[in-house]
Amino acid sequence: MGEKVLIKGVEAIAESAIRAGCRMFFGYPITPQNETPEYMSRRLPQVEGIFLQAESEIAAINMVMGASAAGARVMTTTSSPGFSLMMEGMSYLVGMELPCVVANVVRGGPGLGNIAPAQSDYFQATKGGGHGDYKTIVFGPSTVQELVELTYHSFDLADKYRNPVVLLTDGALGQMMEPVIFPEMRKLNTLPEKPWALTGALNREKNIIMSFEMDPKILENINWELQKKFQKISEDEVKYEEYATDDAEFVIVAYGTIGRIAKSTVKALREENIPVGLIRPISLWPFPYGVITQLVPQVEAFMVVEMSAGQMVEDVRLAVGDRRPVFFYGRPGGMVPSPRDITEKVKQCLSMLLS
Amino acid sequence: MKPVYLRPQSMEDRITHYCPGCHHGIIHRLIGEVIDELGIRGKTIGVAPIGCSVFIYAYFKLDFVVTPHGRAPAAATGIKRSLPSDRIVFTYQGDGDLASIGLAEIIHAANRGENITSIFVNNANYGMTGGQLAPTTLLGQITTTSPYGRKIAVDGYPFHIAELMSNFKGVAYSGRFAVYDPKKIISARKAIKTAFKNQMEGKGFSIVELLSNCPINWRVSVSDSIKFVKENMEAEFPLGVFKGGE
Amino acid sequence: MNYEIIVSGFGGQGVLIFGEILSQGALKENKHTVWFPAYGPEQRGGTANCTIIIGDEEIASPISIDPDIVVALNQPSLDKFEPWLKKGGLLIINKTLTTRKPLRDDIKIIEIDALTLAREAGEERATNIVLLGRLLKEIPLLSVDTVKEVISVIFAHRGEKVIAANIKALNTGWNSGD
Repeated sequence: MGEKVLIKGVEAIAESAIRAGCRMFFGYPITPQNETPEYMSRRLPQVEGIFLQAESEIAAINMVMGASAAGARVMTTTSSPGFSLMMEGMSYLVGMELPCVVANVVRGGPGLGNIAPAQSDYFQATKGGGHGDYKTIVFGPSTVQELVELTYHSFDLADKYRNPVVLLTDGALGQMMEPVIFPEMRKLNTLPEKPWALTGALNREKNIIMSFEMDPKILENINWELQKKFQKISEDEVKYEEYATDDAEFVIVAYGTIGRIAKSTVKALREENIPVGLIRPISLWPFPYGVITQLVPQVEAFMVVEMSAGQMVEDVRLAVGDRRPVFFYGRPGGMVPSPRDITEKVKQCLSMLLS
Repeated sequence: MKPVYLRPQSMEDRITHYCPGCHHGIIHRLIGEVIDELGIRGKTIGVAPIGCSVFIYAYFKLDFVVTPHGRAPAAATGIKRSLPSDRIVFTYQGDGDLASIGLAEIIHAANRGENITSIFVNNANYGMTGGQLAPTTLLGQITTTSPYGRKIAVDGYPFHIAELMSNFKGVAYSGRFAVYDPKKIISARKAIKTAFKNQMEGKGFSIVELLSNCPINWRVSVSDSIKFVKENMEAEFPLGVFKGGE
Repeated sequence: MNYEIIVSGFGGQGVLIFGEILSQGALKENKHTVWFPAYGPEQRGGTANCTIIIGDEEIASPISIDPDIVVALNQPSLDKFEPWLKKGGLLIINKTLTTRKPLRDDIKIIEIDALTLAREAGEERATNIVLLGRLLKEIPLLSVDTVKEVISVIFAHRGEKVIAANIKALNTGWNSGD
């Protein structure tokens, strides 16, 4: 293990990617993620990697596609409007079964919105986002250390499933500095073999990578194969944190930045002997439906807190059904609820339950 | 008996899906011959467009990727930069793909001097989608979305790619050719070879624009389509080398 | 326990560096810490501020709504953050750039003419470090030696002279209460 360093989230993503064996980065400037490409432009040439600033997010994701097709570990980072521009490419990448890691440092929307932290791209990231039936693995880290670990892990998962992985974070975590320990630098000769990659068809059959099939019968089968893969991911890759849920009668569900803020709320309410707990989804797709469903019998009600007008709340309602009330508290547009705001909302919900 | 005319070794033994008389087949063959001649089959990667030639991967014994509409130069950049420098990467794009939706990608690849080769087939309309107006459609030309003929006031002027490309410092070679008679085919073949050789020698971006016909969508006979290329298209799009001639 | 600190001033007064020195020091002393800036257009003009949390407990929320300590380098910062302070909290004010007295009587207040003291220390830009010195005197968040080590590293690219002046400014701040 290395020593602890104090580092910003957006720089930690970059260093962790390099530790994971990422040597190719294509990106386009957009706030609040500019430190990631800036860091990559300094750091990649030191490790014989390549940084290239693309002419647009559209070009960036297609450069990622090319590098991935050639077998490289590759990444891009962007923020909401740029993520929208990348959606066509993401759909292709899934259809082509190409691995890559994309970080979306989410900002307030819709449209140009602002650069403040938000969680309003949850639907776009977790429900596909582009055209066609598809999923990408999505992680929502809540500390810089977790961002480091999930970035590193994302490259392995992307290769394992030959599918893009999305890191969904925001400017709060991105701009924050916390002490972290980075994983060891991955030796490039320990990375998985990619016999499917385009390297020139010398002494082997040609490799074709595409997301294209004119025959609906065959394309249907291809789609069912993809769905089997998504099913497998749903079974094996769910991640979440449970906090103070053992005896909880009221459970908050929140992820990412707001997940850690809600943890302060839970601590404060516990000091007042109010039995509140927290489920913090870490994988947003696959979503941890199971742990929420299991809590239904012991819990009076759930409350979802998001920095949006209400997106993940739909997944929580899917898990809970109509068996318990699911309250929602959200702030869209770049507003970040404080622990006190959340505490007050919890108390309001509790009094509604009593009356 | 000794065969005097064989299929290039870098091509599959397959009949193409292209319409009767279409020039894509000739252009494919020229690429195959050049790849054979330069001995680069085992290290060449093709990047296919969206359009009629989306099926190009099926006709070559080469690694191929089919990328989103217009984005072939960006994907080619990602491939080229990820692989050892002896690998050869080329895009094959039509006029809708390269000159319309993918204009930003081709210009920036050219301006970066990306060491790749682009084969650009200009047939003055969108073939695959049924003959709509393209940036390269001639003035007065009737298409399914310019039923009264292309008018300057509505759609502006035909787009000149080969000339545009010659303005970028990163471009090693830019020329426009046709493939409707043996003499023209010999010149086009030479240009394609130069464009691949430049890449092997690390000279930067090379593009060959090839005027092509589209008899079905133009709703004319093959011989009339060749006449149209020769008389109408060449009048608008002069043949020649605009940058990097020998 | 964890201390929550908000430092606020004009962009260019070294508010973010003030916070980073604290967080780097906390890292050196193996404490939990987070440095959380208000980012974006706010950085220019207006008030720049950052929140620093330091302590021996895991840090959940990076947002402080009732800080233990507020360091206000200008008047807008005093106006904005004085009401936020926890009862019994510590308010340190750069008197050089404030135009009124604080309003609360349930907090501890320290006013320093920090710019003048920084000038005396030979580094006009070290107003922030003077205030940091005084903060450390009032509440020993970190050892002064740790902070001096951090200052030597953070200002290393600006040369020995700047490091020495900042360390002098830190001492000046520390001694300003005597």
